[in-house]
Amino acid sequence: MLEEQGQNYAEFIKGLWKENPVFVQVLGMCPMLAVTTSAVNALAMGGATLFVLVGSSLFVSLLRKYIPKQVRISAYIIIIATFVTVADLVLKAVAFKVHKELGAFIDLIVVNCLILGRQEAFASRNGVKAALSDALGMAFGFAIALFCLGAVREIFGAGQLFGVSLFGDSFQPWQIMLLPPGGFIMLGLILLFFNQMKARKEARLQLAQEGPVKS
Amino acid sequence: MSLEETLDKKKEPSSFRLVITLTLIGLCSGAALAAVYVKTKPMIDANKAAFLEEKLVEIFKGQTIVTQKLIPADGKMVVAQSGDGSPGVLAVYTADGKPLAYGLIGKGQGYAADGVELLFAYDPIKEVVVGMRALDSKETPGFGTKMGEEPFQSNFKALSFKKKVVLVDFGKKSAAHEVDAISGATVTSAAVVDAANNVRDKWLPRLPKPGSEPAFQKKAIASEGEE
Repeated sequence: MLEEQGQNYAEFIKGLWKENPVFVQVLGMCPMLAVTTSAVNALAMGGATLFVLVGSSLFVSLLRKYIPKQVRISAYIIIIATFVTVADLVLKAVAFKVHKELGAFIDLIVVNCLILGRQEAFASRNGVKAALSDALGMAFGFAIALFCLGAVREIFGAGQLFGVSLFGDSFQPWQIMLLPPGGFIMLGLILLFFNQMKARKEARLQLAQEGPVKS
Repeated sequence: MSLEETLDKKKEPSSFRLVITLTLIGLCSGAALAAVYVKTKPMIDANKAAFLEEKLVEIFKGQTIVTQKLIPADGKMVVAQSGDGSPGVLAVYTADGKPLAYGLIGKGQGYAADGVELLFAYDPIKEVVVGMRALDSKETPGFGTKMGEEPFQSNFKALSFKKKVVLVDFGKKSAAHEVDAISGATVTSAAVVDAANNVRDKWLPRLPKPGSEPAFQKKAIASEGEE
């Protein structure tokens, strides 16, 4: 029992950091670059993706023994598309203006390879609890990544965060931050940071393996 | 046939099972979507109406206005039933129910693939547009927002609809039916003019003659929309 809980916890944590879908696996780049022009948009997209990923992982895991492998991809796509359409309608009903900002990108969650990837690689091979832990971890990891990029782009591109002005009127916004090139540049810098960290960690591990250097 | 091949063949599910699985999943998905659609439709319609009304309240700042949707039926414009999603115009009335203007919605092709969707407030007596707001725009940030700012907005304080609207270079506007382009955002400006001409062609011949507008039927929803 305890071991199972520990396992689920590990599945959850890995998506946040070690196997972060954006920073480590570099998945879901289309929404990552397209909708992260503000922190609110990034959070809304993160929320919608979380709903779709958790919902579809639950159903794929529940139905994994009944879906023949020959039609599994079609079945997963139907399940994912259902959740995406529900997310689209609900967002339109409860947060109309945010939906207007996100536009077609909510519909495009269907083709986010992160979602289908998790179904194929994890939910279809594991029990419900593990699948949910994995989906939650990956979705939160994705949302955190979206938020990081969205917040930075909003701060520099519009001089504000969550619509609250940070630098006063004298700030000249960096327009490029709100345009696709700004997204690429920021994402590049963030990935650089993550790769740098990974390289340092590996170097430290290697050093530790080699043992203390005797002088 | 080797033993392995025979075993493999046994493991293969029949085509019938494949079809049934996908059909069942499809049916469940359809049923779930239908339920969510029915549940959310009234909320989405209310949001859309409130959004449009908010834009009209912005244009007619300082006046209390009420609106109702009119749709074309049997060659004239009639008041739409609530929840009617067919395209129409928003008739704007003063608080005491006097017809004031129409909110006309049109699309123009801009730089982005989706084009821009705009709302024009049209005064049928003076035959001029008295305000314009962007409803949906995926134009380049910075260019798109210029649609909502001066000096471009001042084009729409009294833009004549008597003649086809024409786009001219910035600062060259000399007639009431001309629109000064946003300097450096000609494509976006052209999209706005395109949308203006679209609504002009589509709705002007259909609008009721001044004096024969349908009376206001709903209670003030302007205040509800702002809540």
